[in-house]
Amino acid sequence: MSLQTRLTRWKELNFITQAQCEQILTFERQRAGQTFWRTAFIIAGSLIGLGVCLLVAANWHALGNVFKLTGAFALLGSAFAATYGSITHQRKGLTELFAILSFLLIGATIGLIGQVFNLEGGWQSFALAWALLGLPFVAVSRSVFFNMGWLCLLGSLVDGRWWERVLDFLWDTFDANTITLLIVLCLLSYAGKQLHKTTRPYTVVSLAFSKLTLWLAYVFVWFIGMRWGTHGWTSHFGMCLAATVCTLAFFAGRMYWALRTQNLSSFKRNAFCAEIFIFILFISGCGNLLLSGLGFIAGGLAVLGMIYVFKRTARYIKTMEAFHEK
Amino acid sequence: MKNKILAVCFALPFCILVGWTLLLSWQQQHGQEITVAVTGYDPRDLLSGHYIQYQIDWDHTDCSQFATHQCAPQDFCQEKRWGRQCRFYIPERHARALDNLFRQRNNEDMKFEIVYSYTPGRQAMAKRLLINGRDWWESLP
Repeated sequence: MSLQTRLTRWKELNFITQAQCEQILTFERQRAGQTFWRTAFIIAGSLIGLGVCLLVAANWHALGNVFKLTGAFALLGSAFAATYGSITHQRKGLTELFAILSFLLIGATIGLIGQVFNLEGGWQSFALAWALLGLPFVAVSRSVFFNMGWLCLLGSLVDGRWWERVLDFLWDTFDANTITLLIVLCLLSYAGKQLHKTTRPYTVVSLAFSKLTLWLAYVFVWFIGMRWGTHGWTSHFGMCLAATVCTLAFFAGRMYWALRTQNLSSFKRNAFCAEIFIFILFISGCGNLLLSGLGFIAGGLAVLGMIYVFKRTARYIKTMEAFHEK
Repeated sequence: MKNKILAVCFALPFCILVGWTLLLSWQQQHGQEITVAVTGYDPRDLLSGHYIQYQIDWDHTDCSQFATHQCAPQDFCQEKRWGRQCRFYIPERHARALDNLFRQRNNEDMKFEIVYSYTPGRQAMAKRLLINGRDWWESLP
């Protein structure tokens, strides 16, 4: 229904007067004009900006170092000022945009300085400088993903050899240490979430930490399941069984937690993960025909059981008042 | 008050970066020029565009350039030191040509050198890449 038709109908029903009708029409015409010009400015501005960037990139080798550095600092200063302006004018969307832009420009400027002066520091020096100088912009951002990116940048400071040792440790065996590491990750995630309750008005870095450690726990669980749960049942039966139980227990634990916190999407996600894992478990085979057959039967029964439990639980969830309200 | 703190927090990284640039620029311009022979590089970098990666050949470097007439390798980049590499950045489009030149250096008797800006006790900074005593771009085909 067009605005004109709607206004005519409202006038007939005496909801609005003729004067009000004209005021609404004038306002809508002006707004349409403003939207047109705003869109035109945004498109033209983006094209001109992109063109300038491409021109600079095409002639990068011909530009002097002083010009490059001056340009970088001018951009950096503008981005910082824009972030500050958007915060003081309480424009949340723009604050996020300019905070992320400022952060990226800090990294680019450090890289440029390193290039101009032929600095010899490696990735660690670069990442440390970037993470520290970009901290104010991370602190003002309410984007969890941006904060997670910053935490990953901090994580990259750790010497690669240390990560290799962790991978070796995970790859070589499955024992009590592996389970302890998984529990520690879950506890860290929980601690981050609890900390977020008190730091929520100021920063979301604790929430980002919580999510990141939880994601790590998921990656870890999948790794355990795939590495130990789907291979070597004949040679390392005990270890494979323990890894399978550990992986399924993790998903079951998450589903239980989702029920407690009334988080339906988390429940579905974890149930889906568990089903996929069971599916992979029994299609990967169990070494010989007898064990494969037993594996298929056990897997099939487990899937049926899980679907039954899931359906019951879903029905239970659907009846809960909280979900009706949502 | 809150806005002032915010402004200071935002201005601080900017001032640090400007200060660092000025310091590096001053250091580069006021240091003593030392020319060292170089060997072995790899013009690849995922982070900062193309650069050459080299090792300083102290055996073929004239140590009489130093005030003490003794080379000071500890003030120059070292491959063995964790996270440090000897780098010289070059425009991307010349990387391949320079790489080819370097591979042919023994056949064509070319000498590669780097001019450093050196202040005793501080990390030396690479300023120029020389091929047979001339700036590198003059030797490109």
